[in-house]
Amino acid sequence: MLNNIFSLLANGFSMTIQLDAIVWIIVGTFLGIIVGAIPGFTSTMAVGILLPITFFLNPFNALVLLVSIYAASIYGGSITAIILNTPGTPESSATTFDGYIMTQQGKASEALGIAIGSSFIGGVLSYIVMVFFMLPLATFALKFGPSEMFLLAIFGIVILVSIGRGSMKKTTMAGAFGLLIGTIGVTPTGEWRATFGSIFLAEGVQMIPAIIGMFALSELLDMVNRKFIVDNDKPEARNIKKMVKGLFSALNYPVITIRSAIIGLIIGAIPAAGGTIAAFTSYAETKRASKKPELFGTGYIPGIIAPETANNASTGGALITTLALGVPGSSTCAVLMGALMMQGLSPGPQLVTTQINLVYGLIVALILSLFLMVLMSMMMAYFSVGLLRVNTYVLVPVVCVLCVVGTFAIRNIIFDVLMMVLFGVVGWLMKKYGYSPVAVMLGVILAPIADDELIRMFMRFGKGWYRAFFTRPISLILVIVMVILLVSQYVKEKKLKME
Amino acid sequence: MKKMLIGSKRIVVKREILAPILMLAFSILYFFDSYKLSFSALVFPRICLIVLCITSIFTIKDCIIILNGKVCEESFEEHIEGWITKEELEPLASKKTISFFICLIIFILSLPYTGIFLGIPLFLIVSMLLLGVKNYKTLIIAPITVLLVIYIVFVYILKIPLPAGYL
Repeated sequence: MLNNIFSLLANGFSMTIQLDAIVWIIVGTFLGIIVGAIPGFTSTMAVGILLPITFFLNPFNALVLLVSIYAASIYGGSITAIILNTPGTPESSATTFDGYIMTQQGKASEALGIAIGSSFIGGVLSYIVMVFFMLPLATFALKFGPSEMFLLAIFGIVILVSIGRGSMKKTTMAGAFGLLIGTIGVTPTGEWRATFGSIFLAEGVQMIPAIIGMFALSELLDMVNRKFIVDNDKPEARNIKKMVKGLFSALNYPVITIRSAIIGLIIGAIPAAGGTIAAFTSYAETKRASKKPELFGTGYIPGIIAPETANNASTGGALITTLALGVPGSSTCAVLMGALMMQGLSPGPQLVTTQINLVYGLIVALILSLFLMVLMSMMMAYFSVGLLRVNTYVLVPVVCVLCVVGTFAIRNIIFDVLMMVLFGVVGWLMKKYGYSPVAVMLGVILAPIADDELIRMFMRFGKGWYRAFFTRPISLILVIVMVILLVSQYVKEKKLKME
Repeated sequence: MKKMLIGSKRIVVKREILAPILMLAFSILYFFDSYKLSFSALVFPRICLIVLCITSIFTIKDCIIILNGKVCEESFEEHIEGWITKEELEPLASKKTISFFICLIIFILSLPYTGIFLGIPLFLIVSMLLLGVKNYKTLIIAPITVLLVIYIVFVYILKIPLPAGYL
């Protein structure tokens, strides 16, 4: 079997080492980093926009271009998360916890290096697992029914509450508020829910204006009172040595790195769960297992390694379920499935058996794109540190214009821009008084998943739907873990108050 | 922070109370806009509403402190020490933040009429002047560069229609 895998890899390698394939990998990786770094642009949008172009390419090159964008965009999001406290993609939200603090401490170059190194290792580990365990992992992921998926969505919020960033009460409140906002719009049963008579809310609250407002605008409103992004008057200069030092940091924490990669891979493989939950779960688990949990949130290196390794490892997991089972592991993978179908290929077990060379070629291309990602990301990160030296009086209005135009471009309506401003003010107020904007955003992202899965539970289990939480083994384990996390955090907070 | 004297009681309310009150108001609005929907459409939002209401009420309670007026007249500062954060004592927003925000709102609302070619340079120049940029080169170069980048990326490459305005 091992010989067979190695010969398949050799075939994949020969397919990838073609000039045209390499060019598309370079283009995809570059576009992915750029798209990921711009708040408001997601890999799903980029893959969607480039979909018509791939029609003119051969199936392998088309897929190579799209998966390179997908993989690189996850890293790209961490650049703005670290420099501006604004995650470029939702998957990088957890990176802000320690990444932005490091920027404030004058260690932005090192933080960016850590994020690049961790993303690389997370990606490589997940693609290696993809080579050897594609089918068993995909089969396990399919054991997640509606009750497990619902609990997994709620798990994201529970994790945020349990990692103890701010008061438990405030984080729960912010999470519930986000979940409620996320349920606005036409329901899966066709009813108009809490749209307040606005046709623009029929599709629900758009995620991009919410993310841009909550993270970017709220930060910009605060930034006008400072001369530079960082508080001190002498911003950090670009430092390639520090960046390289950060690049190898993940190797000093092998247990954290491997554990985070496994978490990312498993959660990524679960349909629709995605890198955001993976990053938060990994952060929480690393903090829980750490001997110095109090250092998390203070610019602690494992606080960047854990989410960055996990969110990149989740791409491998998501691709496993997409390619091997024909079930999209994330929204970007759903668009990728469309690209496969456009090329006359049907994702699923049939693809793995009839087009196995193409699948392994894709894995080799992904690994190659990771090496390119390191080089390109280093360049991007090096120049982005320069932002720290730009006067905020110029930077803030310019970034604000980009936020407005980026938000408007999604649906071409001013309503979305006004929503972005509303979320900006809410986010600004929340940050000021110790509420977690990340919890709100996570709620907005996870609510549609939770809502859909709950309705599926009614349809599948009927009146006794809630029993599924206790009768299905994976559900029961998730319920127990959530209860333990919440109770232990409550006890910890009580103890702290008593002291 | 707001201090009130009701009878012999001195009531201190944190400005932070705004957040839970706004969230509670939102949940009430949400409830009245959707209470007629079917069970399946409402079960998940109801769970969220209950959690939001409970946590909001507890947070509101945490934002209010009731002191005996006579006892705490002299030692008022001691009583609220540790309970009041530094954000409570500072003004809610600085003049710069407020003026920049007003400028942004005017820019967004006028965008359909002015279009990007007039609206963006105007907003950039006015907001940079408001924030304290005095270098005339920056005031000229920044709007031209931003407009050029936006035109190339959004209009020329991505073919996304942006507001053209009446001009």
